[in-house]
Amino acid sequence: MQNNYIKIDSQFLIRVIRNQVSENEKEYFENWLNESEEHKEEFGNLLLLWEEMDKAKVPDLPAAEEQWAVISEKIKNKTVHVDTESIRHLEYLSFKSGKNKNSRLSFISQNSIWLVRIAAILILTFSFAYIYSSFISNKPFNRDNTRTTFSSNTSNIKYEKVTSKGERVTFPLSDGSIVYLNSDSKLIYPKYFSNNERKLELVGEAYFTVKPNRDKPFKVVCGNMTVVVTGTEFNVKNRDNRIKVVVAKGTVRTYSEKTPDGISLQKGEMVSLEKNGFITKPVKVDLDLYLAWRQNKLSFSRTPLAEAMKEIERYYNIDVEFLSNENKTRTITGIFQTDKTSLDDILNILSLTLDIKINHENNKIFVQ
Amino acid sequence: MVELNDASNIVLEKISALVKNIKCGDEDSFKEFFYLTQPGIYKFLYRYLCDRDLSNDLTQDTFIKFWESRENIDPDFSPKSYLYKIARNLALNYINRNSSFGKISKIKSERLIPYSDPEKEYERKFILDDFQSAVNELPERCRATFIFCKYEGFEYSEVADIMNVSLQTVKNQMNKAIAILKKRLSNHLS
Repeated sequence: MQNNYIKIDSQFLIRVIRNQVSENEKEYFENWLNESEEHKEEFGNLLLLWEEMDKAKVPDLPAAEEQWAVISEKIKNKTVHVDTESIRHLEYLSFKSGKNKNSRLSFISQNSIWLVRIAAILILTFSFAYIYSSFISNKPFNRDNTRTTFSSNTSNIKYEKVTSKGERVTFPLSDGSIVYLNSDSKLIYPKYFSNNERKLELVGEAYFTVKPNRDKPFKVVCGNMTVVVTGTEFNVKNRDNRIKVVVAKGTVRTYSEKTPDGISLQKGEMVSLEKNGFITKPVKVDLDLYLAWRQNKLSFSRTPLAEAMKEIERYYNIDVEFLSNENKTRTITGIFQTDKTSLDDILNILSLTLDIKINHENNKIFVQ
Repeated sequence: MVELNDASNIVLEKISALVKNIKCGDEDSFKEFFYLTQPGIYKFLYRYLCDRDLSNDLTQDTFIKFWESRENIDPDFSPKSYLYKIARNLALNYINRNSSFGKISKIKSERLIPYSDPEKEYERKFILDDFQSAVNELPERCRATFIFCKYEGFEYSEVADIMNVSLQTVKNQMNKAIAILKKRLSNHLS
């Protein structure tokens, strides 16, 4: 046996530890090991170090989905400006949970780029006006499709992301923050943020995972309320002129015209904007109830039936009609796992719990 | 480590198949490639830099750079090594550009000041343990060599490729790393 060529060094010993040696090499190694106490000590020390070094842990691996969202966005941004590719990938990120076949992202062909630019500017202008008027008039927000509208002016590009009923979408912003946009919602955000702040506008409901950046506060404007953070996770619900902010991680500060000094809230707390324009004091809430929508759940906490049915309407893209007013104010509490419970089961449970009649015909629900 | 060998061969075959598609611009393959290799790259960067946010950013940059240079990827050269090469170069550039970075004592002392800010306090939970700091205190080349061998499971010859040095240099760096670590962690290794 010609084993003289084997040199016992760290490279060889590490291969022994990794069990990457042949039978011959193993035998050779064992002979070497038994040759002297020094050899035993040398190998023993290396083995101990090697195993002990496993204790150097890497904390929390970043979520691959979120990272991929950022990378995917960036490799698109580098190669295309506004074309089908970027739409395709946004569509890719769209949650599959919505059963709405109509949901799609609008598509802009490259040939008509100039027309599109002009149109986009107009759409954006109108949509600002629309948002404004929807606040004033308390009109429900209504759109058929999820759209991403690109508006280009010389300085910056604004995106407008709209989800239809029954559809939820997740996507990254240019700074690496992630937005989870709930059904029937709209977010307006710039392609690139300005130098001193990251400002977005929201109608509907969204959950934000904000990339920390001390120099560029992250601001979510919803109607008369502004939420300011530097890096944290929180949920904003802005529906039917009622705005609620819930914090999942870190600290958030909220401002309104009537509360110019702002109100801070921490993890597990909620504030809302009252009709008189003041922000309420933070109250402790059950986070699960408020964040359930992100996990395909419908959650209600002493929610009036009228409000709950509105959630269901949005979630399933279905119309709800109350045949009388008497049950509208009755409240329900509970979480429905929508991927395990069908709409009809949910309606059955509601009907049994409240002892009322709920009929589901075609695409419409009638509540007694 | 034994079962890892077989598994890693399958993974390597998978990677090389994916990279062929990536070279043609196939994004779905790139996505799969990303999911397969992202944990390793992030872990390497974290061990090398000991900074979560920075490692997170550089992980993203590594894949973006890989995608951008996909046409130049040499199929004969392990794509996985190429990816780690990018990651290490990006990290090295960062260290060189930010001369204050890498001085572990500075980072450590910064992290030990109690923060009134809850976010900072949250970050502080990730104070380095003894083993992490021992790795972090190694000289740059030693550190990279050791992490590649110990934690990423590369052979000496692969490390030589990634770091663009001779096999002998890898051996020297590895011996140096082992010696330093033994001394530094002597209280743990009794």
